[in-house]
Amino acid sequence: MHDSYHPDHRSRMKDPVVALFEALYFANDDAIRRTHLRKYLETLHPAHSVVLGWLLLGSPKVPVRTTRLKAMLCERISTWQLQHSQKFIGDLAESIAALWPGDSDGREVDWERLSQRMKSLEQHAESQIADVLDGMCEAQRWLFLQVFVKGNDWNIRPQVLLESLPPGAEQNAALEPLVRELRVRVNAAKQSPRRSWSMVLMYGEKARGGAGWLSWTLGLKDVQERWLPIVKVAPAWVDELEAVRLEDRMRDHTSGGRGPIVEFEKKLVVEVEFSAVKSAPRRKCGIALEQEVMCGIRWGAAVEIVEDLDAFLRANPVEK
Amino acid sequence: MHPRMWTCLDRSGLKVQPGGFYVDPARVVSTAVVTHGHADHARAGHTTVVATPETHALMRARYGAKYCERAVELRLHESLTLGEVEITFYPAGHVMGSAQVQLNYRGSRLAVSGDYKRGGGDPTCADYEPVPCDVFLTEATFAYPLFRFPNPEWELERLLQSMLQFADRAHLLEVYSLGKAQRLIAMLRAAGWQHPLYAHSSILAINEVYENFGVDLGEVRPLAEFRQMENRERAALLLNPPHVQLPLQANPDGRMLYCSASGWNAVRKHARSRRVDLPLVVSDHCDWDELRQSIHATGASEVWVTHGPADSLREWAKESTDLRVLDLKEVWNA
Repeated sequence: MHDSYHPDHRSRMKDPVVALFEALYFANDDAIRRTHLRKYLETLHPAHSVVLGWLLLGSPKVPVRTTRLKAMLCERISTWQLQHSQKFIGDLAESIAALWPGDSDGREVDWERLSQRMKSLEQHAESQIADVLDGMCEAQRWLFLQVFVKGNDWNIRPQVLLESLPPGAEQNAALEPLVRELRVRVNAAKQSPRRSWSMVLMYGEKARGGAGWLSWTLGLKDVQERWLPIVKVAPAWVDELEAVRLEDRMRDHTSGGRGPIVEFEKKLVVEVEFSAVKSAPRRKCGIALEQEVMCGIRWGAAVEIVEDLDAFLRANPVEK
Repeated sequence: MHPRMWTCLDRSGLKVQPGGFYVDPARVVSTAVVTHGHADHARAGHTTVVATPETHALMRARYGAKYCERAVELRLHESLTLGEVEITFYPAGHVMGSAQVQLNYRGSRLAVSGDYKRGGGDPTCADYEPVPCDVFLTEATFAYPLFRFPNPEWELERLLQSMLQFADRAHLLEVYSLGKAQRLIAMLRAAGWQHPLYAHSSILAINEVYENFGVDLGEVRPLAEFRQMENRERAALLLNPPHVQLPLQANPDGRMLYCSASGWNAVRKHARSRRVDLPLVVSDHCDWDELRQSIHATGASEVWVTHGPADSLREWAKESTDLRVLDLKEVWNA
């Protein structure tokens, strides 16, 4: 019937790990997340421990610079393909996954072995990463980049994970340590005191009769105790240079332009996903995010993604 | 004579001067050749409209009986001479009645694609055919190398699997009311889905036109019926256009699962930003590979690009072909 349908998309359906993570990526409520997790975990295979580990403890991040990753791709395809696609998507994981040449017709990936292999990688491991990407389909490449390079947090609450486990999970030798850790985290979350917000929604727009926010601005207190509008930006995956430009712009229009922000709760993370950043002189913060979505507000981990960008840049120096 | 010499672009759109008509004009004109019934191509108010019988019926259903003063029907593979230009319609595979237009002026041939979908498999319209021409004016909605669409049947399988997995939830599928909705309904029927479907009134109105042209879509009930049901069929499939906000009472317990069928879902971030639980990549436009195959198949030496970015096609042409690729707006400045 058709001369160019891509086997990639069939592979996505065959690989249960890819299917699970794609479903979790899109799921909008915990009941949906639970159903997907229960379906995946129902067979209670020891290999599931690797997936549980990613969801509970985070995934191992391999030492590869995104600029190097882009260069590797450009050794395989024309540079304009990446430039045009990246400009359109604004996310490296999707751009690289879509453009990396070669289709794999459902080749299975042993994610557990791959995880072990990635943990043992040292610096300058680009060629090994390229080998891995060569043997994958588009959706597998996307998951690999999300898990091992971008280091995505899937935002699954321990409570949801615990409720998704089938009976007998604790008796499974491979899963038992994770289940124990899960129970500890669930109990800790129940006992931790509720904190007050230090970042507020200042103004927002809704479509007429709509349920979701189209656009909004968050605020922080400044030295005079005034609330300053600020859009807090987190993990749409940009490369290092883009991150520097973005951070400069944020600083110019917030702390750089208006004086220091006295204090705010550093453990509060507001995650915003967006497809692109645009200059917006009419906004006080000076920038506008395209297709932004507040995809998570949480306490605790991963604050370094944004707050410690300085540290990130110290570890990954780039020329401005 | 190069087609650039006998055409021009003005505020109304592409004008074919020796024929005295426009193709898919954006403003009201005296004579319009309309490729298909989507609102960005088919507008009401022209004096004379040349289109396929199906497109005329769709325009009548959308705009009322007075959508034009004179309706000229031209079937696929038939020709008509307007002024000094011979017009022939070829199937575009996009929606029911969609056509590509071959314009022939003294042996110089320009093909205007309108929107088109290569590859067939749409039970509601005729399969795309390449149009031989010297210059091909192509749409380029998805003209970036990252767009590679899957087999729509596989995507439908994902929807059916989800309906089994979430058997206690209604699935709300966002689809365009003209074309995509009917295509998916027909595919669902072909896949053995015999349960009733519920659809927004704008979809039902178009369904009626399709049924009149012999496309069997089975029983499709108004969405209002689903809202009024005391004991809702939990596994019901509802079809709603993306721009229509569903009233809150349609989903009082918040348990509806949101799905969407669009080529834009090929970009995961796009689907996620729209809060879609199950994005299906189904498009009635060509993806990157299909666009390039179609351009080659026409035998054209020059390509004009509209309705999308020209930059990637231009780079590709520079790299691997002798083709000249121009954005439609640049053609008369080049």
